[in-house]
Amino acid sequence: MELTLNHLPVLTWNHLNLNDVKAQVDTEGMTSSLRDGTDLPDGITAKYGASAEEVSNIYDKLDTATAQEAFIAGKFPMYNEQKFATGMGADMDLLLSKVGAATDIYEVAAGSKVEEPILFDTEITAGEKLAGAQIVLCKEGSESTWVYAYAGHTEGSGATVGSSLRFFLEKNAKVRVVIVQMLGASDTFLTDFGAVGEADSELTVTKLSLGAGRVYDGLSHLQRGFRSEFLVRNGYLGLPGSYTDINYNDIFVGKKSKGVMRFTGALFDDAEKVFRGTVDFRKDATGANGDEQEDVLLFGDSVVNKTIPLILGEEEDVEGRHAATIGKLSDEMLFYIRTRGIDEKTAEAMMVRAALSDISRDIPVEEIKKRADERIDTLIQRA
Amino acid sequence: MSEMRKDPAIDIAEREDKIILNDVNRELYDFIDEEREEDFYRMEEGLTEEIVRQISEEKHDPEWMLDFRLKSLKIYNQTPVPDWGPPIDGLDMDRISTYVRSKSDMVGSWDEVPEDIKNAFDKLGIPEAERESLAGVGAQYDSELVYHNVREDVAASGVIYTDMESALTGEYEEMVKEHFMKLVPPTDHKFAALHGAVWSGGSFVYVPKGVKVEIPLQSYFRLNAKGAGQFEHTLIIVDEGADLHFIEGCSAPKYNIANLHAGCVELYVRKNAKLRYSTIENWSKNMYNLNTKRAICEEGGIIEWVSGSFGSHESYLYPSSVLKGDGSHAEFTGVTFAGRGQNLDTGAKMIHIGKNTTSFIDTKSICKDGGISTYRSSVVVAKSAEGAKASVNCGSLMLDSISRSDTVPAIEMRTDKADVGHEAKIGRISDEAVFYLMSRGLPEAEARAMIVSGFANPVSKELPLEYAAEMNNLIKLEMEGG
Repeated sequence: MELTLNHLPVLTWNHLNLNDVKAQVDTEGMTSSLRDGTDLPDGITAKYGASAEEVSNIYDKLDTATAQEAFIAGKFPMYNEQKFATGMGADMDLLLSKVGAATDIYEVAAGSKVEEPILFDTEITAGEKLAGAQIVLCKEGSESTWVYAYAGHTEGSGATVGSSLRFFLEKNAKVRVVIVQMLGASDTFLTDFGAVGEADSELTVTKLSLGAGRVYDGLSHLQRGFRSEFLVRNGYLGLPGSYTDINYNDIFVGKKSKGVMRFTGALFDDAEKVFRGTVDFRKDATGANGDEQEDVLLFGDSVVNKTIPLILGEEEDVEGRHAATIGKLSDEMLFYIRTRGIDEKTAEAMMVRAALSDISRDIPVEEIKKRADERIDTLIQRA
Repeated sequence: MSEMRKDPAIDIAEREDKIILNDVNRELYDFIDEEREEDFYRMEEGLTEEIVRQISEEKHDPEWMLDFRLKSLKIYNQTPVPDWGPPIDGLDMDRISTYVRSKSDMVGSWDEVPEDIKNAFDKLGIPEAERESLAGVGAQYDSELVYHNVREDVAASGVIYTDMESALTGEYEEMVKEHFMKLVPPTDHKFAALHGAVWSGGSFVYVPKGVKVEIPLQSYFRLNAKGAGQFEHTLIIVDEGADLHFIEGCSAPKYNIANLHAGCVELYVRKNAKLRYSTIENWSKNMYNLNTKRAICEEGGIIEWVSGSFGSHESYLYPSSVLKGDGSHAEFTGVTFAGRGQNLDTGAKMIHIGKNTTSFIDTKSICKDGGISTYRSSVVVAKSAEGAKASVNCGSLMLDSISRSDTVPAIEMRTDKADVGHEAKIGRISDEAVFYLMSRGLPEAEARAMIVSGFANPVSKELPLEYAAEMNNLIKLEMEGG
């Protein structure tokens, strides 16, 4: 089926092909679970396989539909209509619904501090097609860490993985989410994320994209609570022939809310990447602070890098910033490294490895971190 | 969805009763000179093939131009309204007259300009500016130029500065034919096609090889007629090693029905030539300003845009620079001030094709009293543009919470042998800065106006003194109200 994903919240010139992306996803034979025999620690309960109606009722109860009320200066409000917004938009929900993917609902009990990460370590087999959705309700004052790893010996097999995660953070909830993708060059990875943060909540999302040939990566976070905090660290390697499409929206509604998004990546040969990043200040989000930065290193005559970082401002008393640096390593840096007897290729590999290893340090499960670091090494060598 | 398509600028102003400052006193620009029927020729409202043929006939177009107009009309009818940008639902072409002109001919002396029109330009200070600081002036009133003059010494150096009609039907016809709407083809977008069909007026400038015009040329466009459109075409060719500063000014009185401006500017900067194109745009706030400006630079050529956008109800304005030649360079320095009832979508486009090309964008957006300002840009670095460097800086200042400021910058790179840097910031006037100035005895309104002027300083310092003063006055007017 064809999906229209990663909508830019405000449309711009159509010839740039940035307003959204069309993705062809082969859904035939797609199975519908991302669970992998996870044992849940104390403080976390689960309800597996919730129906669409149950999910809809949860959204109504949580009143998560604020994003659609955006007042956009352009002609159309482009946040795709969803009761609980995600970065990819409504078509991702449609895909899950089409393949009959069940939604698993997790709840972290109020006040419980779950120290041990909840790990979903998914091994993808050759040609497998897998899709699943989770809603995680993080009750007041709870703390939890969620790690999702996707790997498989699937070179040439054409596997597809679709993952939809939604986190609702009540007051004072603290959540870390780590997503590590280590799939093959012929695989497609759709990773969708939505979050709503209440007062004093803290959400940290770390994402590493290491290998899949086609990556669609979306995230939307509605920071509707006073003093809510959000940190994103996203690293990717765009290997030869790959396509990576990213869309992150940080929506500020709560006063004094703070969001920081950092994206680091490298593109090789004819890799193509689109990055959309939006810092969206809604009315009355006084004292909010949004900061977004993208750094991309390019290695290849035929790379295509598209970047569109938006700041939308409906409130005067905010501070917003976005910055991007796109290009090759600086001559000064290369000279410095060469004076230490290191050749240019090795220097470039070192810099990319350093940038991504800085992100992999966030992986709280040692075994997954080790695999990610190995994967980074392997891919850089291959590139 | 239909509710959301309502004009957001009006919507904001209507839904908020918290208007902090008075509306702006624009007497200087908004004065109305009633046009007497016997003195003016006015085409009926609407856009049909018949009307396009009539315009062509009025203007004594050569055959190829009539064909061009008719093809453009066809493209206009086939092209959809843009689905991005501010809504233009309030613009009804059936209520716009595309051609209005004074029955008197264009002259080369202000004394011969009809009294009422001369008064209008006197109020705007154009003859005075010509005497004091310009090498040549073109003054357009509604659809046609009413005055055109160039200093003798400038003309003697071979500089051609004339109205488009004279250029088209005179000795420069071939040069016009070779360049006219080649840089901005009618297929570019709907309003480029509209321009191609009904264009009228504007200036043609040719600066010969190696000639450096020391003082600026200026064209001033006044759209006085109610419910009319202005579609002037500016074509400038700066030949090898030549240098020119061209200034464009525009204003119109305010009416309670929509006016339309869909001009087109095409700039050809030859090898090692330099062109600075400065604009102070101050259309009235019932104006839809859907203007297209584009420059192409050959090897070592330099284009510098300086742009102040203060007027219009809605604007779509993104001067583009095509850096075709190796080592060519473009700069865009712009300030946009969106007040009550305004939705100004402005920015720039840079297209790097040649090797070692460089571009720099520095813009400031200010919004107040429910105004909406959107900074929109694109920097495209083609695969061939090895060694290209581009930098984009955009700052937005919001002066209250009933306004809106958006930043929509796009970057596309197709080579690893180039560097692009981008930074944008949005924020408010800091209380500390206002407090500091007030502690030095300034009233709050003045302190805020001073801070805003300072914010816009990168643009005003690029303008000749008298235009910088005009821009600062406009900012002051917008800030302090009437």
